[in-house]
Amino acid sequence: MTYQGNKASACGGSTSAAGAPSPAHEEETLLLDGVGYAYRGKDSHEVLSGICTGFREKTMYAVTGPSGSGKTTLLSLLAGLDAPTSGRILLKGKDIREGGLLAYRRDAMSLVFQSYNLIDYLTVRENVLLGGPCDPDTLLTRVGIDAGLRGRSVLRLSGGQQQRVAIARALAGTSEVLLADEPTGNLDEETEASIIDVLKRCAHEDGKCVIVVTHSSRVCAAADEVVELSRINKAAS
Amino acid sequence: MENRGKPLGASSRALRSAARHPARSVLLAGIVALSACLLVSSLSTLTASVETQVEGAGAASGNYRLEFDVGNLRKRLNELPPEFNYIDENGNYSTKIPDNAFQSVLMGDVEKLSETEGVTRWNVVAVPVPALLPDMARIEDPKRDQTRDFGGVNIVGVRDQSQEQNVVSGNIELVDGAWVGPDDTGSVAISEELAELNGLSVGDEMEFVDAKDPESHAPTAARVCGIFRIVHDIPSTMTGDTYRSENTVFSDLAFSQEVAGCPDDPTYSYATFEVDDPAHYEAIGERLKSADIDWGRYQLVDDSGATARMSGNFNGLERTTWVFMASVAGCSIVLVALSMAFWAKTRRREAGILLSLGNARRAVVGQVVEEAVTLALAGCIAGCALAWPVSGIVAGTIVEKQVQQEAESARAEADRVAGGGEAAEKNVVGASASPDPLQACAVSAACIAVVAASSAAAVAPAVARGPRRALEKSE
Repeated sequence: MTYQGNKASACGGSTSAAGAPSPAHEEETLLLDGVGYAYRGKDSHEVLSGICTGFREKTMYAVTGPSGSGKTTLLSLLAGLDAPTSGRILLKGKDIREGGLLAYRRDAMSLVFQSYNLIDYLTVRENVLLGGPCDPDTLLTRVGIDAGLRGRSVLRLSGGQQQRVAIARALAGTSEVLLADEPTGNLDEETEASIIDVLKRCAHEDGKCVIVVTHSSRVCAAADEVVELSRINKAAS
Repeated sequence: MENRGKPLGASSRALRSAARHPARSVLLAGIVALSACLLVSSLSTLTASVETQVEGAGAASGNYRLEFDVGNLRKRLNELPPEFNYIDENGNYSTKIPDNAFQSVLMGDVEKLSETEGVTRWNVVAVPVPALLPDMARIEDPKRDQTRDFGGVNIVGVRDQSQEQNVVSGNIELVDGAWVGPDDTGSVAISEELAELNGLSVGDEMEFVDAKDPESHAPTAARVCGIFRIVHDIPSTMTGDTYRSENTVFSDLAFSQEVAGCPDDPTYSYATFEVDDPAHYEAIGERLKSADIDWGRYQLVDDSGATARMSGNFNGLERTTWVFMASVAGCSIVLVALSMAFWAKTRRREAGILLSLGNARRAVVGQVVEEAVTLALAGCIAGCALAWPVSGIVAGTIVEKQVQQEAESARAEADRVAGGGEAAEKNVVGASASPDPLQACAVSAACIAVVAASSAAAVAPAVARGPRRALEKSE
């Protein structure tokens, strides 16, 4: 595990005997406690094993690693899109499965995809409203979408604009965690810089825990902390 | 249509999706509309065919026919005393029939039925009698072996020839003189071929001798009262040139029995009763059945070959319509289900996105189903509206084809019973079809159910696999 700054920490051996996180980890928004994931079926193989790490609010994390190291799988687990096959993920000390992954996805986290994943038949404003109750215009202003574009179909926006709309959607509602999967993967350098800026402001101004899975050195450089997955993933070692 | 503040619900998304994908929506609604239209039209055609059949039964004939019950004859034969059973010269067991009345429609019963209220005219037809023509020739096929033939003609006794099946149906038409009437005695109507061959005309005399026992009977003379043309062959259950159409001679009832040598013990094969008002056809039938006669001997059936055949044909039409409808229904279900399945498959990515945003599975499936049902509803309304003009055209065409087919088959098949194409055509004029609103509602409900089920079935598995796999599969 590589630290930039000194804020992320491993959790190995630090949970209490009763399974509750130790006081040392109470300040962490998300805590991975021995998380593992194995694909079942014909091509069964273990992708993640014994991941122990934590993520705090007001911080932007960059999760990196070579292809196949399990970055996207890790993000899926953090997003509640799938459940770990071993270990647990704690949100403010509570296993995210306790209240159900559906409620977790709806209330506690928001997600930005590399391919934007906007709904094509909805306008820009309507896509933002999918994220939860909010004033879409305020959020769109924050991410730099002009007022003239807000009533349009998202298909008429550029890639960078679509990614901003996706971020605005992720900012809607009251989620504490913002997860992004290669949010700048399809964008040019200039647009990438502006997206990085928006994500950083989400962490520092909105106080969210922003976790970005990325290959981009620019994103890594801009992140408060960088988590190199190959170092903490026992399955990869 | 902005929705500030509140997240978009499944219904709002469904409506927006339907409205903002106009080509896709029109295509799906169109498929449902086509299916609903064809199904409703088929159902209305079915109703039309039945209506026409009922109209036909009344209008075509307005006739009932009293037939001999063969089953009852067998039963009575079995019940005969032992003295009627004997062993013939070949060693076979045979039964001697007491008299002709034993196997005849009884005139007394027919006369009772003819007095029924609503019966206007009636007719009796005797069993054909083979007879020889002394000093006269008959129409004969020279290539045919005549060794087993009587070598004569057949005399069909009728009470009122104007009501006889072949006259009513148009198989024969009068070219000179008059048909044999109820008050005629010693009168015959012959074919123009027979008349021409023997140089006969109306008013001339002809002599006939019983072909079964010519030695025992003296020739019996009759006057030619009418000459007819054969339009379609006269059907006969017996073979040989004696029974060919040109050699069929119609006579009054008494004359045919006189030639047969049994004027006091006639054999009548059936009787017909014409009703005055086709609208009361069934009621008059019930009245006939309540007459005080030995019904064990008879069957009262819808008469006139025209009616029987038309009913047969329109029952055929009904079957054809059912087959057509079943085919349409099958194709519609497959088409709608496949369209919906394909359409829903394209929504998997959207389902994955909505799931990842915290929407419940039920809401995601519900949105897709709601959108599909909305489109199906629009399609059903359009399809049912179209069914009104379409069903009229479809039913009219099918009925017309059926009538044409009937006319053609009547011309083509010589041994068909009476009821010419022309007669039937006249009776189906005005056949119409109009969809039943209840049937339209039922078809719409069925279409919507198929759409809802198929769209749910298409999207539910993807949703059930969870957001991650739904997104992966759609990539």
